[in-house]
This record gives sequence, C-alpha cells and structure tokens, in this order.
Amino acid sequence: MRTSEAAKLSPDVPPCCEELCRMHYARVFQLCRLLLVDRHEAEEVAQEVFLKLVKECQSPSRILSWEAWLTRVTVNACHDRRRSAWWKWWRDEHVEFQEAEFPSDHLTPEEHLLSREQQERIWHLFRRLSPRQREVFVLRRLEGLSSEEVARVLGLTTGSVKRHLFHAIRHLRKGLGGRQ
Amino acid sequence: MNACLRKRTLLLLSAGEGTNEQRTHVATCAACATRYRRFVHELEGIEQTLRETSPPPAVSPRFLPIRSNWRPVAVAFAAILMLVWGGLWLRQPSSLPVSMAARTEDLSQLLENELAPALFAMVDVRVAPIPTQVSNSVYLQAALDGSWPCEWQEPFLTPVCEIHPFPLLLGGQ
Repeated sequence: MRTSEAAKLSPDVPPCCEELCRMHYARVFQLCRLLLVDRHEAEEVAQEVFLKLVKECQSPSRILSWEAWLTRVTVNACHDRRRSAWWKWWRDEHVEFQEAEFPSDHLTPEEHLLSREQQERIWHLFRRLSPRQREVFVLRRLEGLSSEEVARVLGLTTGSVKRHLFHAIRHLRKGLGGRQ
Repeated sequence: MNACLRKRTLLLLSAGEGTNEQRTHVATCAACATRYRRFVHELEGIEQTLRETSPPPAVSPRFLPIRSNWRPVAVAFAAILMLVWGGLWLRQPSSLPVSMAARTEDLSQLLENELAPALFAMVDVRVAPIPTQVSNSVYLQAALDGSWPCEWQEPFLTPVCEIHPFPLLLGGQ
C-alpha cells in the first residue's frame, strides 16, 4: 500500500491523516522491514499500521506526538505478527539464503565496498538476534531514539535497553569475525 | 581513569551510550581510541547494510524440515526408545541381570530336586499285574460253548476284561 492508497481507504480520511501517511510511510515500512526481516510481511504490517492511523485520526482522541505513536503501534504490530504465526519464528530460525539481487535505490560508495557475501552475512546474523534485541537495536541505532525513548516504547528499563543493545552488537560483531 | 576500557564499555560507547568520563578517556587514550574507532566503523557498516539493502529471500519453510531438522528428530526418537525400553525393563523384575554361574546353579538344583525324582521315581509307580498265560484250550472250549469272554461286553462294565484285553496275544502260542 503506497501513501496515496492509504489515503484512499476512506473518503472520510481527514487531510491531516493523509499528510501523516505521506510523511511517515517510508519510516514505518522501513521499521517493519527491519523488525520482521521480510519485505512482504513488512508491507502487510505497514498497511495495518496505517489503517489504525486512519481510525485514530477519525476518533476524538488527541495524540500529542504522531511519530512516537506510530513507532509504538508499529513495534506492537510487528510483535503481534511474530507471535501470531509460530511457523514464522520457525522460519526465522531455519533460514537459508539464495542468490538474489538486492534492489537498492541509493547505492553509496561504502555499500559497494561491502561484498554481497558480507551483506548476506549481516542479514543472517541480524535475523538470528532475539526479537527484543532486534527491536532495541533498530530503535536505538537505526531509528535514532534515545535509550529512554526506546525503554518507553518497549516497556523496558533503560538498563535492559543497554543490555539488549550490547548483546545485539556483540552478536553481530562476533558473527562477522570482529576482533577485540 | 587510567586503565583501558573494557570491551563492553567500548561497544556501548560506540553505540552512543556511556558516560562523559569514559568518553574523555577514549579521547586521551590512544589504545582505546583505536579500538573505539574500529568498533564504530564496524557498527556503521552493519547499520548501513541494514538500512540500505533488502533482506535476502528465505527458502520456503516447507522444504527445510527434512534436511535441517533430522538431528533433533533423531535425538527425540532415540530418547523415546530409551524410555520405552527402560519402562519395560523396570516392569519385569525377572529380567534382572543374573550371572551365568548363578543361572547354571539354579538349573542344576531344579533338575536335581524336582525333575529327577519325578522322572526316575520307583516308589510310587504302580506296576500293572502281568496277565497270566491262558491256555488255548480254554478259548477253544469257550468258543465251542458260545461264551467268548468279553466279546460283547463294555470294558468298563467288566473290570476283568479291562485287565486282560488281549489274552490271546499273551498266550505266546
């Protein structure tokens, strides 16, 4: 579902909601993609998130920060998706990789430096993180939230966030052959 | 803070955590600064890959179980076999391991005490009375008289006939 499609879901969608969809769709989709490590599932969950956004816009409740609300709803939606289908967990645990093209719109020089094998290795290691470690790593390092914000979104303590972050980074580095 | 920072501290520093004191140490310690830069560089590479590339497709799960899951299945199967065997073993107390010597001894005692007296006992054997020889003239006379012994009588009605069923054969003529 693209931004325009999200806005066309209902003729009663307020203009502010349409604007929110346009502003946040890419970020929400990226967050879903990283948390679920699956493009197709990420699209489905992003649709669900924006349907909730539309309903929320039509309700009389007042959201102070739509960005934080969307982050929380997205994380919860991904969490629910993972929990709802046990076989997806199973698939995550038994993943194998195929030769495939990695479409990317913005290839940077640094990306070219990383070989395809290295990229596959990184994704493989990323998939092997526990769901909580993945959530913390994505929100803290890729979404740029502070430790306190991550703790608030995930319902953890700041200490737990740091611990999950450390374990996630250590796992990734170790898998890539990181040295002391 | 003179001692070099631990790996955990440096990793968290490279991830944006840590205290001002630790950052100051990294700024003044060449060894820690080198490690810190390496951690930051590796972390940036990982993050860039995750941000800008798509996750590779995974193989459909229906093709995986046989190939990649045979070990846990085999272990579970072996465990079940062991449990079943153990249960059967516990239910049969006679199947407790006995040494061969003990078994042989028991067997010989059984043969000596139970079987041998039963097979070779002479005391209780009832020796049937040996039929007395009967002269052919008796039968000849009986045949002539029309009173052949026991011919039309049921054996259980005449115990004498039961004792001497074939008196002619025993006659030895």
